[in-house]
Amino acid sequence: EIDWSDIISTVEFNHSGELLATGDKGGRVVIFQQEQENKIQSHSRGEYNVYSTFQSHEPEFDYLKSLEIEEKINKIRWLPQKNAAQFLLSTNDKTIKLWKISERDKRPEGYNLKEEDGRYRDPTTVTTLRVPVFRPMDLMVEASPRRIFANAHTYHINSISINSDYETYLSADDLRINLWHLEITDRSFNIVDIKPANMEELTEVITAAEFHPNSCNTFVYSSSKGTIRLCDMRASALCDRHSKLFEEPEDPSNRSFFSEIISSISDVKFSHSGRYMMTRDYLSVKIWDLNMENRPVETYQVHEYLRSKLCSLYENDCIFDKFECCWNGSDSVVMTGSYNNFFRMFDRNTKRDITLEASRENNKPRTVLKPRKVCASGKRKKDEISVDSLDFNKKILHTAWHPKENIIAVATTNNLYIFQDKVN
Amino acid sequence: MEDKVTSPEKAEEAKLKARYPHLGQKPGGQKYFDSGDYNMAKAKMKNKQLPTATPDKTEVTGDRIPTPQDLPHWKPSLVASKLAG
Repeated sequence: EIDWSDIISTVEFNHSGELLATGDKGGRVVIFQQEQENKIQSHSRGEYNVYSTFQSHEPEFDYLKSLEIEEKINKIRWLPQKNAAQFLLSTNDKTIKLWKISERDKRPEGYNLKEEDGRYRDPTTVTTLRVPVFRPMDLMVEASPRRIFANAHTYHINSISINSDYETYLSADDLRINLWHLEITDRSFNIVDIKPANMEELTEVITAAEFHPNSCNTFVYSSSKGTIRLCDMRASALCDRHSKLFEEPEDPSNRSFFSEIISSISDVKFSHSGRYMMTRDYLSVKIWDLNMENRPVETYQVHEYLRSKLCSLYENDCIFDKFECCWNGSDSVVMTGSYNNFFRMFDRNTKRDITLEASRENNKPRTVLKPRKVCASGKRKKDEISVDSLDFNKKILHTAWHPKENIIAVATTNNLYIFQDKVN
Repeated sequence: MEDKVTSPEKAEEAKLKARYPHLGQKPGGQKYFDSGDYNMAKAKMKNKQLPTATPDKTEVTGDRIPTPQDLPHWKPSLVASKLAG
């Protein structure tokens, strides 16, 4: 049985790819570090080992509303490294925290008034003076909260994104987006507010938001109705009017009860180049050219066979699952998760796609993953899995791609898999 | 001549409507016996995680004073994550 608090809720590589952070429902962060490459055995890249783990958020209770505030870590975002320490932002539904992760490998020894175990020496017994020196010690990795950004969100935070100026960041909830300065915790600026005057008129919520990787004035936010709005902070203080609206026209004759639900965008990610952005809705991944608002330039079907299962997926709530997506370092391949512990990769150049499985039973360590295939209908071939045999409790919602190498991190419900391509 | 080909989505919609005839209807559009009936119907609809349901949930202040049994027991996560094990 799965311990509820072990459920992984976010996965993120840092800017160099050396560190990989995971957050879970229990409010904990676990950071893995890649081993330095062994010069002799250069046939494989370093493995990832646990580097640090800490409790980021605790469960809280909102006494005014009689509501529990979950400690689940919704997102982690790394700051680029500026000095010896590493910094990351982690957030739950209500509070964002800036954590400093630093190494300590030396400690001072030889105090005059203290013994090595910390007990104070009787000053009358001190006859000579010595200068304390730093001596090596076993590496200790410490995480300390440096800033707490609280009380700025009425609704649940779904995204945080650090600006390319490395000084500010945004946080988004269902209805509002706020802009913060990393040094200032008692103030944030509201830059988007889609809350209607009358809540009965509410039809659309914000599902994700991200800053442009290069333009510090530009950010996008996606909605539950399948639209993406690009905003320019130079235009006005409150960016309620978008600069660009990305939306694919829908054939009204095809509209069904499920249309809006499956068009809801669960993730939006800019390409590293900043030229494109990728969105994930329930059944597909779409690539948009920022210069073209009226339709995506590429669409990839993740699991089209689920379209004829929408009724059951609605009944078991799976239709509301929020899958994330990610780019590889060169923006040539995109990846996203699916059910049955399957995940999918789409090569934008070759137009080839592959389905792989993250599971211990079916894959021995250090063996090449076997491609999987789902049989949508008709006769099932050997090694194919029929749609009705898929395990909808085994969902891969969170994946991450190393910024430089072909190393990927895939989170199943409560396990983390790290895969890499073969190094020749 | 009628087009008999139904998209898979529309077929699924028909299935759903057959199982839940009142789905999607606003509470005001129907006749209810009394306020209790109205609230029960509204609660059943809200059970489905419509994207708009989340903001509504946080707007409500508790409808009764919680007793100690009602308060969620906090699970201080002193146990390390199994990923760190």
